[in-house]
Amino acid sequence: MKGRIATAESQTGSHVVRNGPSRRSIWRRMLQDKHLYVMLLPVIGFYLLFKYVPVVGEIIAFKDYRFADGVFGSQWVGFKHFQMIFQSPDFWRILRNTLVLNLYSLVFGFPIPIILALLLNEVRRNWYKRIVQNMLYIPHFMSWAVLGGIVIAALSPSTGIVNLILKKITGGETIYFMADSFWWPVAYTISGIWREAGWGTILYLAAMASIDPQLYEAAKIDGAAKLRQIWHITLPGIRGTIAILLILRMGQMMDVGLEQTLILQNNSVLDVADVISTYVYRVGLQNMNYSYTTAIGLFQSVIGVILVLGVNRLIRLFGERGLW
Amino acid sequence: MNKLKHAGKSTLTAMMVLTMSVTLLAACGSNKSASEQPSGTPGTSNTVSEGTKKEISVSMFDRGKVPTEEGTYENNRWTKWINEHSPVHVKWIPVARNQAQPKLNALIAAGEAPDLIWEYDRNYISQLANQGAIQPIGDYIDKYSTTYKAYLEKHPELQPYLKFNGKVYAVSFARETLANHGMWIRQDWLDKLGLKVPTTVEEFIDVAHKFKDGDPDGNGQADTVPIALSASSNSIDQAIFFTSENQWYVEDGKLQFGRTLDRYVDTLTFQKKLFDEGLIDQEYITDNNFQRSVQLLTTGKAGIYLGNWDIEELNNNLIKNDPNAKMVPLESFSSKYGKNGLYQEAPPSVFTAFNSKMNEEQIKSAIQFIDWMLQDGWVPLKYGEENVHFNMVDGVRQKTDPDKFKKEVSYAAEYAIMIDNVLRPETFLAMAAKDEVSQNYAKEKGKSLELVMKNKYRRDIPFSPDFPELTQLIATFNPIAQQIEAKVVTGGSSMTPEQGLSELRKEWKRLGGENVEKLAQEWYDTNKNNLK
Repeated sequence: MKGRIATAESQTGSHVVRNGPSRRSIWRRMLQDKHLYVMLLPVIGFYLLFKYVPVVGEIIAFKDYRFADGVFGSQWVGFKHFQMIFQSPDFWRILRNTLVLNLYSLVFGFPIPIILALLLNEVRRNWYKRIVQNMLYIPHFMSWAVLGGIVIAALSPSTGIVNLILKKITGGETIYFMADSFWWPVAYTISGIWREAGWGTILYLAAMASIDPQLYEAAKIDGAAKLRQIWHITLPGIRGTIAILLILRMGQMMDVGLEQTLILQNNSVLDVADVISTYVYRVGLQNMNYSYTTAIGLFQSVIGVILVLGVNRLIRLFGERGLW
Repeated sequence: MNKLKHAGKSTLTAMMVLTMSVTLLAACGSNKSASEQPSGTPGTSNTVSEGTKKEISVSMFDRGKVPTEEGTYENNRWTKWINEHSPVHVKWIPVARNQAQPKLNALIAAGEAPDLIWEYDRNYISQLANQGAIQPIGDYIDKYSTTYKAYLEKHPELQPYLKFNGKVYAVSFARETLANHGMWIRQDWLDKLGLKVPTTVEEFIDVAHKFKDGDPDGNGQADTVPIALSASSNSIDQAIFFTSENQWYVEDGKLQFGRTLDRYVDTLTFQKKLFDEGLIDQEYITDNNFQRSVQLLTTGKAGIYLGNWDIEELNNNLIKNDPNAKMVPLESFSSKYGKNGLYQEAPPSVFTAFNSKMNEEQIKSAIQFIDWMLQDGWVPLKYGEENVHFNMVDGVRQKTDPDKFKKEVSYAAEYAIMIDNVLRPETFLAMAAKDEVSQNYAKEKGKSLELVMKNKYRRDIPFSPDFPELTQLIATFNPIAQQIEAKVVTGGSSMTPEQGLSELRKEWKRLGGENVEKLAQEWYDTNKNNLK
């Protein structure tokens, strides 16, 4: 959907260019649609007030922020906090964990909603489709406190269902998944997929709904089977959506959900489970180190922006429309 | 916006602009407190009528416990009662309990913090002092206070805690009791197997073994997990060997960090033994909220509980499942280093600090309020109204109706920022409900309180230093240390306790532990006299 909006914008943009925009004509057009523009104002106000003004606060990453001195009165310290971050021997371990968990979620988590959406799209019985969809959405609305408890119980070596089945099949040793540094990230990734995959299908299903049915009819007449139709019509039809969502996903590569991590982690897997958000939680909340945590946040954002720009460029090289 | 108003001729536009500006204004103004609204709005009429009293604002924890028919945290029978009886008019600023510090920080940063800010966490107050958000008040207390000044003289143990960087920044009062952690054991199991109450580490492990193998629950299977754990267990294991993890010990005049002491090897050995010999749950490591342990205990599958001194709810659940179960408090047992008490709280309860924006006049009012609260203001807030919520029986307040009390009084304790009260075990019996289970438990509870207070918990300095290098170090060191310890305890032969300790020391050093130890020593040497 986002892709379509972007397309619409770029089209009107080029339209204006062709007309040769004089200032007057823009004003006239705005006056013509004045009601629409007035309705736009609160939205612009919202973004200015809540999204752009707070950006000014980022300057405390370069200051020693104290309550008593305020954002502007606090002392400038240059890159002190960034030096502290990069000199800390453990920051790299935490950064690596963050990236590894995100890489797992990206590689395994990103395609799942697409596959699910393709499957759902082929279901012909509407009632059945709806039931399945709702079942898939449910985990999204449950808190991690509940889901985490289920995951830990299901993977328990003594009473968990997974190990019971495993034992039946292989007859061998049980595996303590949640206390194993190899298995923990796997369990983390799968539980993340379990919660979000169903919800992630919504955008893809919407994109599929907008594919022209005539294309399928034409394909059928030409003798294309279901898989051929999916490969040559459905997938190309949602290519734009996939591209946009991939770009947006890249912006989150430096974030790992705090709640999920805190609930699933335990003392034996901290070498793989300690991530930036849990670190910031410890340092920021316990120590009121606002400048330090802002510096980490700024670092995360900058990397995020670089990744978004990079992937955007890559996608355009592949001939797909990116965000820009 | 004005331009638009002029440009728009149709009424529709004008209306839209109007709606929009109202929304925007509402968005901007939502943080303003009621008292800042222009006069004439209903909210301020109270203040005007009681004009002679000064107003102060006080923070409080919103625990969501005020029933709707009682009103809100800002306005209910008790806030009205306080405004009627206290020398000042109090405006309460509730902050959600689980978000209290971030929320208070936001209020402070926005310049809208209440006059009095309180927390249980001394570290937080210390940070506010470093941030310049609160001000020193020692001189004002000397000048204006009566009740509190006298109280402080009777409680010299509070003094060192109230000073931050050498100045008094907060007022506080002594806790009702210092008791916190506690251990419990099944007396009926001991009797059945003919065992004595353990008094040393060796005896403790021996009893646990007998519980495991002796089939104390009589179901014909050796399926008991003798020891049930809780959030306090780790700390109890450490206390037995005088090695509380984040505490500094003074050894020969030198400050040493609990987790890197020589003795820590014994703590690790003890924990490893409990795990390796199957005396604790083999999956304790993923039992983050101790649900499994609670279940083991309440279903009669465990006989020893390393938890807290008061376990009424757990005990009730156990009795429901096994009416013959008899849980009794277990006194701390000795190790080769002697007998330590289990963790006890530091003496001060709530710390109340004064906003740095208050002027002398406001501070005077606030101190009057504190004096009044400590004198007798807290009494009804804790017990309710006589003959309505309680009756005096044998010098003890007995609740008339627990449900009525819960609804109308229990939330009021939140307003008592000063309390002058001591918990007395001998009153438990009279205060407990009259059914047999409650009466039996009240007896054990009294014993438990006596037992946990019998042995003093070793705390060489009243509180730990909190300079940034240290907090930074602990924030990175703790997860690493926890993992090393988990490996020692659960990893079989992969790491011995001795290797674990040397690994802990290596990491501590790598993260700058030596420098922090030096800074801590300097802090100790300069503050030595304030710490007594």
